[in-house]
Amino acid sequence: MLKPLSFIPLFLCVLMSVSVVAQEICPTAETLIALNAACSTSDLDSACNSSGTITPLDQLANDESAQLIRLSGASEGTITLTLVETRLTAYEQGEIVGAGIEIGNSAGYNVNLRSGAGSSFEVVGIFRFDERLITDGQSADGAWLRVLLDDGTIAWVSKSLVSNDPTLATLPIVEGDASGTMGHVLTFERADSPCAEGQAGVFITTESDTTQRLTVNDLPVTLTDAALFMSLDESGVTFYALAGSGTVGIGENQQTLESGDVITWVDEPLIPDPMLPLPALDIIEALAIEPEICLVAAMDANTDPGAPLDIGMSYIVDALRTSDSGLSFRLSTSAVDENWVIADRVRTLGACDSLPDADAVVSSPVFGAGQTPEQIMYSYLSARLVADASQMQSLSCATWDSQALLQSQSFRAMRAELLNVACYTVSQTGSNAVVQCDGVIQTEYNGELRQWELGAYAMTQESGAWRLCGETR
Amino acid sequence: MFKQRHLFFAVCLLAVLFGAFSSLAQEDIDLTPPTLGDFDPAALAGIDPADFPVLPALTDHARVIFERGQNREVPRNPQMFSKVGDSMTASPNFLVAFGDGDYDLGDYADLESVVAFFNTSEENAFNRVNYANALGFSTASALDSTWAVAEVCEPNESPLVCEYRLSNAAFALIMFGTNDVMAFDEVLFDYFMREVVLATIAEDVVPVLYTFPTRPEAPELSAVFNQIILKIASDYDLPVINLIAALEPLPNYGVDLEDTLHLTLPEAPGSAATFTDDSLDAGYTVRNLVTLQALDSLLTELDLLPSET
Repeated sequence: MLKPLSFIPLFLCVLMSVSVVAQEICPTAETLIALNAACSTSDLDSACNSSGTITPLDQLANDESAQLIRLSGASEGTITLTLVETRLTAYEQGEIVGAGIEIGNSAGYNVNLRSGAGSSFEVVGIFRFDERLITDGQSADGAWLRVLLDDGTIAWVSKSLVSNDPTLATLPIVEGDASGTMGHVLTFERADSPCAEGQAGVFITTESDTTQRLTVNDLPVTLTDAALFMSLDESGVTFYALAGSGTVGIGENQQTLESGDVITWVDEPLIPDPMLPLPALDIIEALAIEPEICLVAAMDANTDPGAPLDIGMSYIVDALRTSDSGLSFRLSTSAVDENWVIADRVRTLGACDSLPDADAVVSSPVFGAGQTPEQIMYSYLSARLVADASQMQSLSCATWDSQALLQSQSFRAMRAELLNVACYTVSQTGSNAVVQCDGVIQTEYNGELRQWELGAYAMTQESGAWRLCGETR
Repeated sequence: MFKQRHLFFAVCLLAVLFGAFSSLAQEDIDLTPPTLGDFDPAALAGIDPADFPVLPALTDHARVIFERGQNREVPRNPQMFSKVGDSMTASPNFLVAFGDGDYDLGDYADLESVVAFFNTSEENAFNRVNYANALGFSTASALDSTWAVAEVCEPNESPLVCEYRLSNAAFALIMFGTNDVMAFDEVLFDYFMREVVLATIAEDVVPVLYTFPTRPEAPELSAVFNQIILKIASDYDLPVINLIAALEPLPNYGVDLEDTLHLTLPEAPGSAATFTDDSLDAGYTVRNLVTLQALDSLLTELDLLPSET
């Protein structure tokens, strides 16, 4: 029997052990490389940890030790989730709430929803002219889209009657009588650890060109050949797009993520705090992620990079500048004040060679400067399809301004798209040019297609940039 | 001789008085082009379509515009009107049958004179091809040269101006709202509608406006747009056919619920120009009837048709 005082050294010993363990689980490149090695034999649709313990999917809900999860996705794609200082608290195969793409009715009137992918199928509902629905799949010929109605009914709508969205082509081909989209639904929480905020989270990656879908912490997420980092804190989550593209959320709150985008989500998407850091560069490297953006990190605690950077973190930069003192990088931030770091004093990863020159941008304040007349004309036509009046007006000369406003609105009641459009400059004299555009604007209204032939356009230079100034047909 | 001299002086006196009156009427009306964003919702307060008659009287300004059209180097043709609007106006069910002689005025035989007035040749105001109406047409389309028919319209010419140039019409029957209400807010509709009306006035063509059938998908905004139309008619002192009031007693207010872009048709095919009780339960028939009645009234007041009394 031990005396009570004899417990004190034992308690201290245990405490020190826990402390050592806590330090050890702070992420490093080595721990992640070891994790990948330990999990090299794990199968698809399983989880694994640094001890090499493999948990099949049907037991994953109870596995809080999971550190690397590989999931099967659409079109034989794979989704990999690497947990950093994060615990999986729930997993299920469930209907992905709101997974899919939101569509609007572009017909301008109520259209039929049918029980199958074809106009011969029974009408099972109405897609109101002002309604938005979520489609999660398409028919084999791509002509019909599947939607799940509020009452659980699965219905189909003709793709020709919905808002034109190129991502619709990425929808999986689905069968008519299948249930709603089933997928992986996961919930994570930040693990108790001594690591700094911003280091804890989940890397979500896929190398598939097919859009992959899952739900994490109640948020529908899609990603296409992408790498996202989801940082967790007490109030919400922050998504960083390191490569590829994706979306987070649904409906009017749905946010598109392109490389370099950062979105904080607390009940709804918010503007993130300035200079939110990412995990260390060597961790991102260890995961074999090749960022399509430029990341920088402090070299060490003794090297002053020019702006305060936390050791063990990395930061997104969005521009460079070359001055007498050498090359500098601008930290991507929503703050008004710019923060610059000296390139020689930071480590870099990703696309740092292709950053825009901040000074070059400043020296070209005229919108569209440097673009050819045909480029300006094509931009104008493209803006017209989405009724972007301000863009069209900024591409127009002063006397065409009111016409630009009109033209931005005159196809609003219908769906419009450019077909086989090619613009080229046929003549140029001083500050005037004529651009010929071949092809058509095709509109769809009340089920009727109509094509509007493009023609020749008068362009003029104003303040050093080409502007549309009229028709010359 | 004496009589002739007196008649000459009387005509001169009338012309002077009419000129003075015309100038006065014009001075009161602000024809300044609108500025986007000028729309004031408060200005619509108290405007209720139910308070307006279905058929308009000839307004002072309309008379001035008409006279100006007659004084052009090539006078506007009083026996021609332009049909300006969306697919309900482009529809073969709107007035075309009267130009083709395929109609039955029923109890409204007194409208024969107005039909005859415009039915001047095989191709006439009722049935000629118009260039300022089309499927999907909105107020913005009418002003946008993209929508002008390239074969007949000039570069940069709007469909509206192109139509007036080609038709040389003295009157324009203008109905918009059905497509606009699904695409624009009040600010844009007010702006574009004023632009359409002012472009018509600038061409010395008398605008005859319509309130439009309520779009079932957007009844509240339809009501506001109709208030805007009535306000514009008031601001510019123009005749307006209160179609929404005429359609009020009809089933579903004369709107085809299977195709809410359009008015209802009578069950008998091609009978929107047949003014029987059954046929007059349909929206297109009612529009045809009130249009002929309005034109009859305007022509009579302009002394282009004899007064019944």
